[in-house]
Formats: sequence, structure tokens, C-alpha cells
Amino acid sequence: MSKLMFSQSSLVIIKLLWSKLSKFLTMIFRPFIQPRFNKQFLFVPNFILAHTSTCPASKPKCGASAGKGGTTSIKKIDFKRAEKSAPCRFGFIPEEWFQFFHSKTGVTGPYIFGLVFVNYLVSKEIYVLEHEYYSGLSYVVILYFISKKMAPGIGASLDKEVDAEIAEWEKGRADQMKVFETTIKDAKDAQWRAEGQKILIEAKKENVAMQLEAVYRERAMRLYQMVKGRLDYHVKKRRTENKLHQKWMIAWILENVHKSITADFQKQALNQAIKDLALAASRVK
Amino acid sequence: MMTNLFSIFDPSTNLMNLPMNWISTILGLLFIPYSFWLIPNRHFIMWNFISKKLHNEFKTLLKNNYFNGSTFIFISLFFFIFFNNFLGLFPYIFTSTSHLTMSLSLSMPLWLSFMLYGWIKNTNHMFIHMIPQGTPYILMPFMVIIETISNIIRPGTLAVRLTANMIAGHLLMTLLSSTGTNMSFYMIIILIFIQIMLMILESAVAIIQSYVITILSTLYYSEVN
Repeated sequence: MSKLMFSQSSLVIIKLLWSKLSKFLTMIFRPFIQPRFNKQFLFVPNFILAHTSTCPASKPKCGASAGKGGTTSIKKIDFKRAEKSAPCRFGFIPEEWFQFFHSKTGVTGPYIFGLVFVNYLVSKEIYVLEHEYYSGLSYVVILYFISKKMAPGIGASLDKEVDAEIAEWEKGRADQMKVFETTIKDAKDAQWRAEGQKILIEAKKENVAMQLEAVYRERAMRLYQMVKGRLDYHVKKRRTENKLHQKWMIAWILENVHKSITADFQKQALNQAIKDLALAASRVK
Repeated sequence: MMTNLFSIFDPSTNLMNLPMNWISTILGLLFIPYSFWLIPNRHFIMWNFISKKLHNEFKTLLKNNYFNGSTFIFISLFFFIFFNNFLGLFPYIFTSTSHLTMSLSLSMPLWLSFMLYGWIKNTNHMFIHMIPQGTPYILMPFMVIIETISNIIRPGTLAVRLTANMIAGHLLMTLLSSTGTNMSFYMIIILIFIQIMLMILESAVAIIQSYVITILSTLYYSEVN
């Protein structure tokens, strides 16, 4: 019973220690595992220069937060292509290692640690300064001079190639955009022209309406003239009849009457008229 | 610790009696660039530049024997041998091409496959190639013997050339550096300077040897068809 408890507690301790150790190891060896983007040091292997914040290992996966039913088979790429290489000191020590120490030891901490560690290795003869060390020294000098003198030139020419590649893709994209813009413009022009057709049709409608109006008015005028002509005919007919009556009947009657009026008759008529007037005058009074 | 001069070629990195030093052979694989993004980075462009140059060189050599992809084996051979040679110059990295086992394992299968293909498929062509054009009739038997011998020793020359160059270079470097342990400070500066020269030479030799072995393999391949 006690043996079981002891083994269980030791297991717990071992698990705790292992989690701590694995965290520490992951922190140290993260640059070696993640994808690398090299822009600075040409002859050093890429896995040394990784940029942890651009890499998705520390970020939660898509499916974890979506829940049980929401897992998709398509992984989202939520990191971007790194334009620059990862920040590092002395060309091969990543910046993150210095940050790891910073909260406890400040700025000089990592350097002191490095110095002391190297001192320990050399003084205890764990690292023996033998022939490999001297050839390594000469190699470090060569690499330093290459990285200072030739690497910027080579890097600039390679960057030009990268920029040319990017420019080619951008040009394709820009050309496609232009094609689309031209298409949009042409479509808009076509729409504008179509609207002009509407105005044309309106104008044609007005034209036709005007023509119809003109024809209507012409016909109305003709109608009026025809009716007036008929009425004129009747008027003329009556006038002609009157003229005829006047000429042939009334003039003859009047002539004959004038002929028939003697002097006696005229005297009598005048006397009668005077009598009537005196009578009328007496009534008026 | 150097027991003798040649102990750099026999490092004792054992793990359960398995020599782990040979893992440095595949170290060159880590230098192959990723094409993860659409836009290439500098490393990718440089790799492509070298590959294209090599491809054009080999294509010119192969002339009529070129098929799509014939140059791949030779380009990968070049990069493999180059990385092994070059990384071996760094301290504490084992140079696997300085061993005949490595070089012979590369050159022997190549040569053997070329020869088998040539002699079985194009026997007449191989016989014709024994004698160069314009030899006088009297010399012909001797020419055949000489050409046969030169043909047979080709894998040996390919392998031994590479191995010998690597061994010689590393030996010189080791010799020079091992004197540095018992030197005064000012002499060490001169030593470092001399070593820098030697290192530059060795880097050039590394590139040249890998190029030579690849070009010769290409030539042997083009001769067979």
C-alpha cells in the first residue's frame, strides 16, 4: 500500500519535472524545429534563424476553439511570409534567448552566462583547445569577413531577383485589375447608351404623337370647313331667295302701290293723321 | 584527443557500438530550401541559380543523349558531395567523403550501371569507342588495351580522387592546427593567417572536386549511348 502511494507520488513528481524540462527544451530548440527564413547569414543553416512569432506553433489550433461539432478539414494559415530574418545577436544566437533571461537577470545576464559557461568548459577541459579549435578560429574569421564584405552585395542582388519575382506577380495582378476596370467601364458605357435609347424612344413617341395631333387638327379643320361650306350654302341660298323676292316681288308691289296712291287719297290720309295726333295729344294731357 | 595524425578520420562517436559520425552525411539535406511560399526567398533563388547553371552545363555535355530529367542525378550528386566536402571543413563535423567507402559507394554503382547498360545494349558502340579516331593501324591493339584499362579503373579514379583530395586537405589543416596548442600568442596570429589561406583553398577544392566528379560521371554517361 505504501509502496503504491510512493510510486504514485514519484510519478507525479516525475511528470512535473518532465513538463518543466520539456518546456525549457522546447524554448531552446524552437528555432531548430520551425520553418526558417534566411536573409542575413548565407552560410549558416536555415534552422538557426527562425522567427517564432510568425510561426503557428504557439497559437491555438482552429478546431480547438470551434468546439466538437465545428472541426473542419481545412487548416487556416494564420501566419505571414517573413520579409526579414529573425532578430539575433552575434549572427547566430536568437533574440528570444536573451528575453528569456531578461526578467531575472537584466541585460547583462545572458552575456555573463555565456562567458561563465565558456570559462567552465575551457577551464575544466571539457572543451579542449586542440586542433579543431584553431581551424575553427580561422574559419570564424573567414566567415566574418565574408558576411561583412561580400554578403551585403550578394544579398542585394538576390533581393533584386526576389523583387523582380514579386513585381512579375504584381504586374499580372495589376494587368488583370486593368482588364476588369476596362470591362466595368465598358459595361457602364453600355448601360449609359441603353439609357440613351430610352430617350430616343421617348422622342420618337413624341414625334408620333405630334404627327397624330397634326393629322387630327387637319381633319378637324377640314370638317369645320365642310360644315361651314354647307352653312354658307344655306345662307347664300336664303340671300339669293331674298334678293329674288326683293327684285321680283317686293319692288313690283311697291311700284304698283306707289302708282296707286292718288292725290285725294294722300290728302285724306294726312287729315286723318292730324286728327289722330290731336286725339293722342289730348289723351296725353 | 589525437592519438595519431589520422584519428580525425576515425572519430569515436559511438552509440551502442554504432558509429554515429556518419550522420554528418545527411547534414547537407538541411540546406535544401523550402518552397513553402509562392514568392521565393534568397536561399531558394541561389539554389535555383546554381541548379540551372549545372543543368545547362550537363545538358550541353550530354548533347543527343539528353532526355527530360537526365541531369537530375548528376545535380543531386553534385550537391551531395559538395555539402559533405564543405561541411567537413567546419570543426567537429566529420567528412564522410574522405572515406573510400563513401566515394566508392557513389562511383562504383554509377560506373557499373553505365558499363552494363553500354555493353549489353550498345555493344558495337562500346567497341567502336575503344579506339580514338585517327590512330594508325599498328597502334590499335595497344590502344584497345589502354582504353580497356582506363575504363576499368574509372570508378577507382573517381573515388580515390575525391578521397585523396579530402584526406590531403584535412591532414594539412590538422597538422597546422595541432601546432597551435604549444605556440606563443604572436605565432598563433601567423598560424591563423596561414590557416585562413588553407581554408580558402580547401573550400575551393571542395567545390571543384564535387564538380569534377559530377562532370566526369556525365561524360561517362554520354559515352555509353
